[in-house]
Amino acid sequence: MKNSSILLSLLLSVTLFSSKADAFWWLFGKTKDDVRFTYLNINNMPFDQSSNEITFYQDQLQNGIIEIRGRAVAGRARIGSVQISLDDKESWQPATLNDDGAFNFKFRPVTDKTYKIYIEAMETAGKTNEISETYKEVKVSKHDISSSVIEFMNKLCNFYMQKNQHAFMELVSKDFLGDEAVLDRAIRSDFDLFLNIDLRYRINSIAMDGNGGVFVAIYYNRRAAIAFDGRTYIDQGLTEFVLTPTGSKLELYSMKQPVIFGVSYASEIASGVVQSDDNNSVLKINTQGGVSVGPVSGMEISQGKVKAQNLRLGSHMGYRFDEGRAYEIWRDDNWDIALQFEVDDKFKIFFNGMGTHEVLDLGIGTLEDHLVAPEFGYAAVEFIELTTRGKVFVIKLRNGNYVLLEFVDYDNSDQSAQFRFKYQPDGSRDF
Amino acid sequence: MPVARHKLKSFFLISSIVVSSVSGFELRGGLDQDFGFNSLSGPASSTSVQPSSLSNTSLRLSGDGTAGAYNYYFDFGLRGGGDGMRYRGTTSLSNLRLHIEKEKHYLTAGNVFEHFSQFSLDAPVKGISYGYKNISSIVENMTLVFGLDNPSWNDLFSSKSSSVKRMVAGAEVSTKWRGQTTANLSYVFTNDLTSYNDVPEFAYNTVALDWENQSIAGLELRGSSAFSGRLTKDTADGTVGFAHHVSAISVDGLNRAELEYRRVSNDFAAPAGSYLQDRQSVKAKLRYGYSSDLSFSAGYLFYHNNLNRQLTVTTFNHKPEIGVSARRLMGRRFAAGGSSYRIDSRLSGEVKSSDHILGVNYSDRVSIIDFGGNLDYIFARSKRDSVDNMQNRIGGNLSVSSRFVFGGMNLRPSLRYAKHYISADSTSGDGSDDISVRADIGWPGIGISTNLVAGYNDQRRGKGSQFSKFYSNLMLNWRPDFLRQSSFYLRAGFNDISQSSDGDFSETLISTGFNLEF
Repeated sequence: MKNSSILLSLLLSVTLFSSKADAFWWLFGKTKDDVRFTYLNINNMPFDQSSNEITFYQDQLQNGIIEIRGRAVAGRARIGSVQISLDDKESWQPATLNDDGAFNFKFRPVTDKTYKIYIEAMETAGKTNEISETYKEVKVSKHDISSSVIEFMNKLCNFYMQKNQHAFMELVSKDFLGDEAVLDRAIRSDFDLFLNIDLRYRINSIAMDGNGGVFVAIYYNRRAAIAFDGRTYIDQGLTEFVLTPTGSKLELYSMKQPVIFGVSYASEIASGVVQSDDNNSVLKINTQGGVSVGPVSGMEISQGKVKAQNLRLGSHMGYRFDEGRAYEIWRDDNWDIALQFEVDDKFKIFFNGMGTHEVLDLGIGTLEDHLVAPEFGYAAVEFIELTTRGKVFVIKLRNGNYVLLEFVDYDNSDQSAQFRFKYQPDGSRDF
Repeated sequence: MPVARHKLKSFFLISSIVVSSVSGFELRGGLDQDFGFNSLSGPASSTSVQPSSLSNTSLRLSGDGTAGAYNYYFDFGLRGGGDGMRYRGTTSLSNLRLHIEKEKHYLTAGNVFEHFSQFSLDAPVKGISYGYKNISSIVENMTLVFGLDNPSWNDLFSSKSSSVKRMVAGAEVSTKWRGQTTANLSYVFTNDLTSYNDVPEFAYNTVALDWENQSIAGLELRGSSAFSGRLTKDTADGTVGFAHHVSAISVDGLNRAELEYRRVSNDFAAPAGSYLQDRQSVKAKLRYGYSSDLSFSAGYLFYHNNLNRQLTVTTFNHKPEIGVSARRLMGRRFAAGGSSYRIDSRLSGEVKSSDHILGVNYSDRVSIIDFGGNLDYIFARSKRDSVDNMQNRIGGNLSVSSRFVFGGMNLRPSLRYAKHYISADSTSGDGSDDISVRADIGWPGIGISTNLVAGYNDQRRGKGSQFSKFYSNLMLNWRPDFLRQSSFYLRAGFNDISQSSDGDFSETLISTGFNLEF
């Protein structure tokens, strides 16, 4: 908090006191005395971040107006005029100009007509900007944006199902909220994890904000075969995206949980959660690649149906979950799990009745990450070695009930280990 | 639901009355009708396709016009029939929005999407918003929003208890100084009206300040800072959280430099916002255009979680990258290519992994043949519990296409081949192959376009799991002149899938329909 406040203060200081500073120090000696724009936006979209062809939809425009705003500068000289051409330099119209070079220009476009826009800023001695660099071809479509959204979503889904990473990432905004590089890794990981992906969707609703952002909610059905065991998982849900326009194209700007792309690292790329009746059986991948289907994970930490308990075991101490009591293992054989400290500073958890308990490693996390235990993937083992703090295991006991067990810490001095666990006595996998 | 339908009828009636008394009114609409026939052989559990005959209808209406000093537009959408996913056999509302403007004032009702700040409000609500805009005033914009944060109209009317009913109320004020600095102050109050899945009901207060400054030529500074308070309604326990984002972007023609810092604490909670919780990140990117045909790029991203140190391990991620891209290589007009090298490194307790990714791509045209391809080589190394795993992965695809014109017919045939190969001690030889041919055929004079795709996909992974699929798709689209934007279509697909896990099946999917625009 303190660090970020300092950073914020520094940036504000730069902003307020450095109006003569050169922003292009990183261009290795280039200087800028020409007539140029400090910013140039068309309906709040930066010129330099949009393609040369821009399509607006009628219902995106407030009052049916397109507005061009910017600020022209010319070193120490003063800007005398700013003119806009909408017809490929055939005619010019003056923009409203302030003393500091800030200007704005509004026009009411006719639908389906193409406007070839140029902007000319002139300083008082007659020097102008590089006019050709301001060229934009702008069109307003009277059709709603649905068809463009469907076309975009079809491309996203098809490239994902084809495992065409390059083509998929071409559709992602450089400003993707979960970071483009993280999504790139998540997609790559999905392609490794899934043998086959089948994804079908239907648009539920589309909405637009005043800056051109497009909100899309979809229902999806997904079938994914997992590479390491060939098992097929099916899930369905309702999820949301925000798309951002760059000229006549749309790009993916953000996704919410349940994510349908990059599910391997869903929590690192999703910028929110869709809470819906339809999101109770969605595909989830944990940090170690374990797969489950259950309710979407929310920002709110659910305590779940079963209360977590703390457990501290010394070496050669056992614990029985249905009785909720500890045993000394050389005196009694009623325990389910037991801790054993070994000479090389290693801890092991042994399971009573060799092979009658089954275990699944859920990777690093907490008990609260797992509201439903996976249905598949368990293996009968004699023991597990405790080397990594924060690991969560799910144990299918020989009585058919499930236990979630989190390894918190160990203490070499008294040869003990600390755990948290949840025991579900009703035989279900719901925690 | 009957109540909802009654309300829709009323809306139609009111709309009709308004339409008849105004000028400059333009009504647009679309009717999509889709008939689907799915058949399946093999175990139904192997596919998400339901063997059935389906019919789906959606109606879209939108219009705009003026009535005196008022400008307005509206959107309305209904969906009916079974789509194989939800609400089979029912009619549901898919969209509803009415927007009215008068000079500096506007009012939106229905599906309202107002963006205040990513940390306060960045999601649509079903409700109402009022806005005031005056670009010549220091208070340039003021917006008020009230509604329910439900993703669909069906959820709004649902009596199920597995999703939360959440009320959202908010306000935003935007100011501008000297035409160069803007500041938006927003406040959003969110209140859970129901509980679900044992998650208690919460009430949230979020205050966000977003600012932007462009006073230095070529430099754009942006920032956002937010505070949130979350109250558990049952127990009156509260948590507070903070979120910050600062970025500096400098653009000069082909050159661009960007620095960004984000920090969102564990306890920051704004359900109507759009952000990643428990993350601190720093990002730097530089693109240097040596010429219009040659540019270099470099970037670095670092982020980690566990900001409040409550987790037993913290996960750190480092992602540096460099790249070069070029056009008109060796004087060839259509030649374009590039290369990049990235490291994807992750450290989480005793688990370490790092992928080194080297990628190249090239596309060109020789005579009438267009071709392009890319190749990625990945050296992946992960170390967990003292076990060191290494993999070499190679992935790439190649496509070749051409274009011919025969009288009034256009033909574009293409061939695509993609290969992915994984080599490691335990899984040597794993990978996938995909080959497909595609033909796009069009008769522009009579508005017909078709494409036909056929391909074979084969995947092999550990423990002998194998998956292969023959797939084919046909799409026929007819857009007759006399109906301008309307079209008729036929889509057919056939997939024949074999799996090592005894789930072989084949599916045939046919859908046909029309889309009428008026």
